[in-house]
This record gives sequence, C-alpha cells and structure tokens, in this order.
Amino acid sequence: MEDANIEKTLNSLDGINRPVASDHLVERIMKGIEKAEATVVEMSPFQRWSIAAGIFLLITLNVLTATRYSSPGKKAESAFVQEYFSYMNNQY
Amino acid sequence: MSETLFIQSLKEGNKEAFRILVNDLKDKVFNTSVSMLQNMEDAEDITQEVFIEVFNSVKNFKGDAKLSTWIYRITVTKCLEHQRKKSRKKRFGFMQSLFGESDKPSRDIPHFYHPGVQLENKERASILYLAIDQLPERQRTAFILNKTEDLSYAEIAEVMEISLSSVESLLVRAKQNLQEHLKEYYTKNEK
Repeated sequence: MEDANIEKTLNSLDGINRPVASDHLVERIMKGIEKAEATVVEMSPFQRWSIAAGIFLLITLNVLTATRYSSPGKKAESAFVQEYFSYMNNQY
Repeated sequence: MSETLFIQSLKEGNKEAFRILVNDLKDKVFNTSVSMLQNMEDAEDITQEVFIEVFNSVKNFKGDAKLSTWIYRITVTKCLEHQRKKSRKKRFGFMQSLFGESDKPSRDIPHFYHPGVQLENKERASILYLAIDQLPERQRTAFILNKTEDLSYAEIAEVMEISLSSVESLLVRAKQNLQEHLKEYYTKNEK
C-alpha cells in the first residue's frame, strides 16, 4: 500500500504542462536588456590604450617620487647609525 | 532563418532577434526556474536575469552547443546560485534566532503547487516537490530537467556538461533518495 502510494507520488509530475510566462514578463525582460545595454560603455581601442597609458604614467610618477623623496631620510638614518657606532667604538 | 544567422544577429545586438529569442524560450526558462526554486516570483526574477546574462554574453557564445542548451545551462547556474544565497540567508537567520537577535519565528518550508500539474496530482506533486528540495544539487537538477522539461538523457548531459552514464546514475540515485524521503514523509504523516 505504502509502496504504491510512493510510486504514485513519484509519477505525479507525469503530463506536467509548462506554465506560460506572462506578456508582462517579456516586457520586463526587454526593459532589463535595454537597461543593461545602456550601462555598457563602448570604447574604441585608441581610448582603451590612452587610459592604460595614463594609468601607467601615473604609477611610474608615483614610484619615481616615492624613491626620490625617501632617499634623504635613509641617508640621514645611516649617517646617524654610523655616528653612533663610531662614538661607541671610541668609548670602548 | 538558420540558427547560425540568428546567433549572428544576436551577437550584433539586434533587438528584434532578442525579442524572438525571449518569446521562444521564456516558457522553458521560466518553467525550469519554477521547478528549481519552487517560487513563482523568484522564477520571474531569475528568468529576467537569465536573458540579461544571455544579452551580455552572447558575444562569447562559441556555438559548440545548441543555443537552447546554453540558455538552459545559464538558467540552472542562476537557479543554483539563487538557492545557495537563500540558504546562506536562512542559516544566518537561524544563527540570529539562536542568539536571540531575531524575533522572527522559524517556519517550515511551505507546500509548493506547480501551476502546470494536473489537478488530480496537485497534492501528491506538492509532496514530491518537498522531497525534491532535499536532494543534492546535481540529482535535483537532473531530475527536474528530465521530469518537468522532458529533456532526454543526452540533452541533460549537454546542459550539465557530464557524460551520459553520469546522468543515468544521477537519475537512479535521485529516484532512490526520493523514495526514501517519501517513505519517511508518509510514515510521519500517517501516525
């Protein structure tokens, strides 16, 4: 009895019909597609390369500036260390 | 118009071609989503998302599968993603309720009545959907594609990108698991 019940339940999707999506859904999808299209920014290869070159230039300038202005600090630091050790050597 | 030409016009962004595609495949996408998600509103949202995804990525469609197979694949992926998101939210809600941060009572999964099921089978089908919901993802996908979309084993294999024998074994295991879940359900509910 129970097995027959289970079998009937397992077969209950036989002959199932597809629910029809409403026309309203089609319009909603088409609006969604238009919206998606509007957000896509089309760029020519020239524009793409210009942006890439700009970013590269910006990064290079940043790196150059960082290395240039960090050197005096390092020099001063090493001078201080040298001075300290020469003092210590003279003392002991 | 041949499928190759049709795909070409989709790739060119032809709106009329998209409208034809939506009209042709919306019911298939919607039906798969309805059965996978067991919720009409969520299925509508996913159907819209699927076609937007198709619009955005048709340029990358290589044509190694049929267009409908590719769209089924997107539908299944979107549905599974949606379900994972939902179960994460449920888990989070459960944790919150454990720590008393939420006063929402936890609720059982409601019965789902598929609008396409024959009237005399409605009650049984809703019980079957409860059992389907407990299947592992791949078994559930294969079973739904086979039972509600009436796809052949070969088509399911293409959609899921697995071999024919894997589809067969997934369906056998799905049926075994469903039998167990149903047995459990009827024993519990007959007491």
